[in-house]
Amino acid sequence: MDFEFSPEVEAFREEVRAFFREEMAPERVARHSDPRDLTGFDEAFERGLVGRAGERGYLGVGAPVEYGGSGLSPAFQAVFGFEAAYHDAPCVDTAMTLAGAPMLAFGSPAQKQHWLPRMIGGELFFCIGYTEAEAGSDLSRIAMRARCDGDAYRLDGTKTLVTGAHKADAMLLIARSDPDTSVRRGSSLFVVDLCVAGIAIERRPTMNGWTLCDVHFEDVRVPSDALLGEENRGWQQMAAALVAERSQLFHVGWATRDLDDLTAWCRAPDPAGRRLADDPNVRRTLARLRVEVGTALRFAKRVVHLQASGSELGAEPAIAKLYATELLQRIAAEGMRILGPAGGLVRGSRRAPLDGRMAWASIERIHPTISVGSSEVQRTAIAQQGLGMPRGH
Amino acid sequence: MDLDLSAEQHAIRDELRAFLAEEPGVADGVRRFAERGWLALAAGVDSPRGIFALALLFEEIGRAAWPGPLINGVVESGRVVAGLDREKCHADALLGITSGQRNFAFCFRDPSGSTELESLALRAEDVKDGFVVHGKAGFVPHAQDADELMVVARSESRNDGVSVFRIHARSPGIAFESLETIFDDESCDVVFDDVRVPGSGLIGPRGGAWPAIEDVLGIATLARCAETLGDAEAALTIAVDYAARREQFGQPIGAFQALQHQAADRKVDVDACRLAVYEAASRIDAGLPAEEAVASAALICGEAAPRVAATAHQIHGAIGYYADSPLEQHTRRIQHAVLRLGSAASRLDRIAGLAGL
Repeated sequence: MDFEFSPEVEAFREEVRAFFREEMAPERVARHSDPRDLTGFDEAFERGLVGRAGERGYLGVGAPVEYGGSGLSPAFQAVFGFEAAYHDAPCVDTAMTLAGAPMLAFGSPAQKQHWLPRMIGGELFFCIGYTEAEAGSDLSRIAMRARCDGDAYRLDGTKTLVTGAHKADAMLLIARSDPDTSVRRGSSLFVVDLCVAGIAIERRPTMNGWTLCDVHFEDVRVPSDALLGEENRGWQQMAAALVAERSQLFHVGWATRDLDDLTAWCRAPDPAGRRLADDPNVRRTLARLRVEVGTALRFAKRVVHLQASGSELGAEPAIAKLYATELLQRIAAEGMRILGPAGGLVRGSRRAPLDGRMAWASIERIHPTISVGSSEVQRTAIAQQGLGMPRGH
Repeated sequence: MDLDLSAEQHAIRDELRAFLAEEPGVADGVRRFAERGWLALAAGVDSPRGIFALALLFEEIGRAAWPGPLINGVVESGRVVAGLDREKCHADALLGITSGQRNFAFCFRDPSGSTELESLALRAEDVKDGFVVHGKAGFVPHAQDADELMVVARSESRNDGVSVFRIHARSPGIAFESLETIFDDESCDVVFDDVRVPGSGLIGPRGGAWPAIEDVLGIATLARCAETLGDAEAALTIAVDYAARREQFGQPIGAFQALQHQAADRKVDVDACRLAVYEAASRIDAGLPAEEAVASAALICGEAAPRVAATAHQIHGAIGYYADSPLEQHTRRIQHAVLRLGSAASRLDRIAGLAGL
């Protein structure tokens, strides 16, 4: 058994680190702050950075060569995600990480040729439209309609809580294509160009100042080749896409960065020469969080290993997601406790420790335990798939 | 990166599981472990199988709740000899340990239970033709079954100036004071009242035993973690199986979300233990620095396993509290191991030190 990434993966990591250190240098990001975007940066900056990452082959490092990918093991993709997150770079929710797996699994040859090269090249931004107002954790309640209309479909309905729709070029969505049967039997996936007529995007501020979008579709006509995969098999395809989702190594990247910054702050002497880390309670808290980040990393590596060896995924991704996202909250909470009242000072504020990172994190880390399958959904999956516990009435 | 067990490791696990499923007693188990070379592996001699195999051995021992005192008697006693006895003056001791023919008890803890070097309460002084050992060792498991005691004593004034002696258990001046605990480890305080030890009883360099002892304690800690992992896995499996069979309110209780979410958290705990133990073992076998990995495994197992035991009992309800419940032994063993793994604070301080916090 070997828990280390291969030398090739580590060499790739070094390359990616150098790339992000240069791209994310303070003087380069200084004028591109945009607190209304989840990434914290304006679209021009993000497009530039994502484009350059695409040119270097980072975004499709694990994707097939025929579409412009590098065809390498999932470990490369996972390590890229870790480093992007660690450097606070807007390269985590890329088109490939959001929609690459279902496109590769279910796209027709023509669709793949149409979409993948530009997704891998970093030219396109995607967003995901699964969630609706009445369909959060229970996606069987989706109501959005897709009516077949000759050589086209007509979409009606509203997708909610969509990350990044305001800047996205395309949306992967699920809609009911056969209303006379259940959602499981009568839904389809579509890849929709967001420039088409009839789509209205409404931005709604979150607790941390960035926005999520409601995306309204009113009799939106999309060509029939917007259908991804098989008609009325959308539910099964979506489920497969969610299982194939990411290794969660990017969560570990954020956790590592939050803890590294907190640790560095606690070790630095104040003007009187005192260090927070000299307090045994602080020291032990930092040590415990370090151990927990190690656990999160092992859970994520296990998913990467299973992906790389082509093994069937069971509860492992759920365990990785549950643990890492709850850990992100613990780091923020412990950080705030350690910093005391100053912990609440925001970025740019006078005297803000860690430039307000813990204050920001204490609000930001609320949503990862909810989005893409809440912790409760993950626990149920772990119990039923991981432990074989029975389903209730 | 490869997180699968190798074919050989699978075979090791299957062999152990099949053997332990026969529920061998202590004497029978020791004899058969010896025949199959498992005691040699535990003692760190003549085995290419490495620490990972040692972890698998103790994981299966934990899963089966096999009661033999292998960690103290073989891992600690055997590895101390293997690590210190470069001149092979004590080959007979190792042979006795690995053949299961001779029982040793490793005496290192002080009566408070501490394994800190500072609190070592045994002292050795020079006399003509040998040494005199004086003091008290605490919580020595199965000490009264031992033929010989493997004793760590301070022989120099400096803090790490310790030596290891083998002392016949029936030597004049040795007294065993039984401790009655909630565990079945038959532990004792062992009192050494000016016990004479011939010069030939010294193992390895005088006053220079500490580095080897530290290495051995690390391996023993990992073995204990693996054993605890096995106990925790077993406890969770027993509880989940029970929850699938037991019906209340018209359905198996395992279908209730209140139980499923607790069980899910314990699955996360067990997997965290397993990956931590396996990574530490892999690092040792690969020659990578492993002290922090071992300390992390100890922290993780020491905290997770009791949670697993508690949840397993909660899932069982009152039926799990009967003495003949299959949970009973695992719960006791987990509690015992946690005490042996040391306090969370001491582990955290060690990790903080290693990480330069």
